[in-house]
Amino acid sequence: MDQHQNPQPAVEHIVVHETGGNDHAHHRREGFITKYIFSQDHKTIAKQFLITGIIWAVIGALFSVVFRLQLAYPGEAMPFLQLIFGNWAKGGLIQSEAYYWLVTLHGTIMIFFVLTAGLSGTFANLLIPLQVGARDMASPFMNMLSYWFFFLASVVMMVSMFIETGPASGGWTNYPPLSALRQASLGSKAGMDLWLASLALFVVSQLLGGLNYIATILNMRTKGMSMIRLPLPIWALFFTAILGVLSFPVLLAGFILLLLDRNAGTSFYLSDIYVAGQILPNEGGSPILYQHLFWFLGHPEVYIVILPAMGIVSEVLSINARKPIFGYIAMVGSLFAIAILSFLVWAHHMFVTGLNPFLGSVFVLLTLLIAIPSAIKVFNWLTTIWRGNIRFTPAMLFAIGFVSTFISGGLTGIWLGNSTIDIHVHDTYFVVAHFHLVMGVSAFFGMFAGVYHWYPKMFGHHLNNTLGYIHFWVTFIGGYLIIWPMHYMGLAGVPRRYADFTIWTSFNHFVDLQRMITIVTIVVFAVSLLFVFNFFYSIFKGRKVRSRNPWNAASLEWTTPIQPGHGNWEGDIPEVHRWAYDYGKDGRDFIPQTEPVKAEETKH
Amino acid sequence: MSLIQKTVRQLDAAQKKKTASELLLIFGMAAMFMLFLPLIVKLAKASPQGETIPAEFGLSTMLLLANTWLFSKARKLRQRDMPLALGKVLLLMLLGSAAFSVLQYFGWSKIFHGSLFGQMRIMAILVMYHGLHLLAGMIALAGIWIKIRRLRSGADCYIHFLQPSRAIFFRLTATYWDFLAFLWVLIYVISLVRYL
Repeated sequence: MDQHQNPQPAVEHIVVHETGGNDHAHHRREGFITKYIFSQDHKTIAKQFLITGIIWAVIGALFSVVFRLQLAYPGEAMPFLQLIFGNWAKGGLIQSEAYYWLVTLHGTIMIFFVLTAGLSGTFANLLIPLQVGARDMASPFMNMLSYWFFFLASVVMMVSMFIETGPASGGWTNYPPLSALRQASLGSKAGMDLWLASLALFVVSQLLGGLNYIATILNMRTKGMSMIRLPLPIWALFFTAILGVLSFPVLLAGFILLLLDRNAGTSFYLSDIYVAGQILPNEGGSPILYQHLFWFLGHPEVYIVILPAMGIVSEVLSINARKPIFGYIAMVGSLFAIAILSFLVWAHHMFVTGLNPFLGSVFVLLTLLIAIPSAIKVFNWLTTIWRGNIRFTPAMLFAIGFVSTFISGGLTGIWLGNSTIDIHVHDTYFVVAHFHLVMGVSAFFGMFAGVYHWYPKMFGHHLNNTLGYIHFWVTFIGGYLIIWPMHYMGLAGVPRRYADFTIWTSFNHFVDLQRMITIVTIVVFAVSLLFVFNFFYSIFKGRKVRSRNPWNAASLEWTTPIQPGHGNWEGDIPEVHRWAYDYGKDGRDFIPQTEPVKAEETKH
Repeated sequence: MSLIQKTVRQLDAAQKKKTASELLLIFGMAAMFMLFLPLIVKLAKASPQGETIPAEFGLSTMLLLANTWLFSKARKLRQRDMPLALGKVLLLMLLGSAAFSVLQYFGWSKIFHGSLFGQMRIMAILVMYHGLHLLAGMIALAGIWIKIRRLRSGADCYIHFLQPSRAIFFRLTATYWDFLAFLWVLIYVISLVRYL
């Protein structure tokens, strides 16, 4: 069926029931400030997260373009860079300190501000109340605070870019002793304190949000919405929130100790250090402790990024294949297994730190176990679309693209999960290729799928489809063209984290490849700007949504008005009678969750 | 809509809110515990080099345990609708927790300013962390006490706690205090095992 047609609003099937929740909220009159700035409406907060995330994504991607220019054309002056970056690009040449902070902020921005806040923050806020059938979050005030802590974190990070000594430059992990000693580099001075302060605020934001998501999912579901009837994005966001609530505090503890080492003279991470002819008095600390604390969050963070994308993709694939999701219970089970395992594998990032080999082998085993639930999900996605009546909307293309990049990136994860391989390629472009494909490109594809799919619900307009198709194909092909060659470079031993490696004659023949990657990066960046244009243009000028349920989807959010107010449903919240994936059942295209089950219906 | 239906609806709403608040606190405490956990593990793995735990921590621990007992009394008084006694117990708790904080500060100072700082820095950080969390507990307690002290009769007390948000807040504060006590006792016992 053409996606623009929507002959059959699901609202006629709605059976309402009276329920609690924050039903006072939708009656309150709101001014501009309370409606758009300090809003407590989960949908507005979702938009705030998304728009802030998009702004950060443009900045983060721009930084990658700039440092890619350095890698592709080392030593070649580009005067326009000096116009933008001043002394950081003196004479049009990216200075090595600038290269390092560009890389550091690219990683920090993309992982935390875009793929955590922008992805999880957006879709958790948008979907949880709408799909579980609640007026709003358990605590709309905490929800608002969650965004504003994120905003504050953004401001602090932004400020760090404009101070004289520049922002943090120790990589997105900012390992000590580099990050703990002010004298170690320019990026270890005030910029590092601001980086730590920014991320501490960010952690607070995530905790406030995460606690709210959990409480809302467990406690605010509408009548009939048992856990087993929850749509998969909600399950994914539920496990994501649990991961965040249990792992972000550990990172915060690590950051506090680092701040104390930097500012209070403690030695949690420092011992036996000799810098510029001076022996430092610090004794008894261990920089490895920081790595443990960092990766205890750092690895679950991978899943904090990818689980929401998995949930979104499951939903989009099922709706656009017009088929029930294959193996719902297995999908939930594998989300659970991934969530549990993600807490038990952090040390696979530390195989080269001198980790006890026996301990390493335990972490290898646990890491490889993650392949099982991941593979279950992949097979279920493929089986869901197998012989489906597929609608190739931009959202569907991005969802299929996600499956592709997740398989490609996931396979190299099995390589790197083996310490015997990881030790050899750990500091090479192979690792860069792996994580960019599996948690960069894949997570972005999941996010794009979600944006294209739920844009009509967010703004009451459609995104432009033609621009959407251009966006998908250029990003999909470009993504592979950028990432795939990095695997070969990594296997050839090209080291990561270097601003210029032309000094090694053995790597000189990769310069052309670096240039190709950089050119494609610029093209993909340009097309991403096209998406940003499409996003903002369509808010005002996009084709208007004419029906409540433009995708003929079965889940609850499409029973709300086209532009729902605060409180979501005009009357009482609908009651739920079935799961969210009744597509192509008993000769019907779809059956909404609100329609009671008939005695003669077939069972799945 | 009939009055009964309305009442049922209001009770339903209150019930949901109550449980959501409790969930927020339970998971919030889990997050707080995770904040303490790496430091507690670090404390458990510390290598003592002849240091001793400041005596103030022993006294403060006893005070905290007394406070926990007092809160259990307060819960009973609240159930029996005895506002005057309840106010006195809460005031006593506030004074007790202030005394706890002072003792903790003295103990912390000994570590921070003394030569012990090098070896026992993790203990100093834990005391600081715990103190910050205690401050939140004291603010909540003070909030309850300020509202309680205006109540005179059992009927006042009954009506006061009839409002679900007040009853829930009282219960959540009690849970949080138990959590704080558990946390400190855990830290203190581990430090005793390491440093005695």
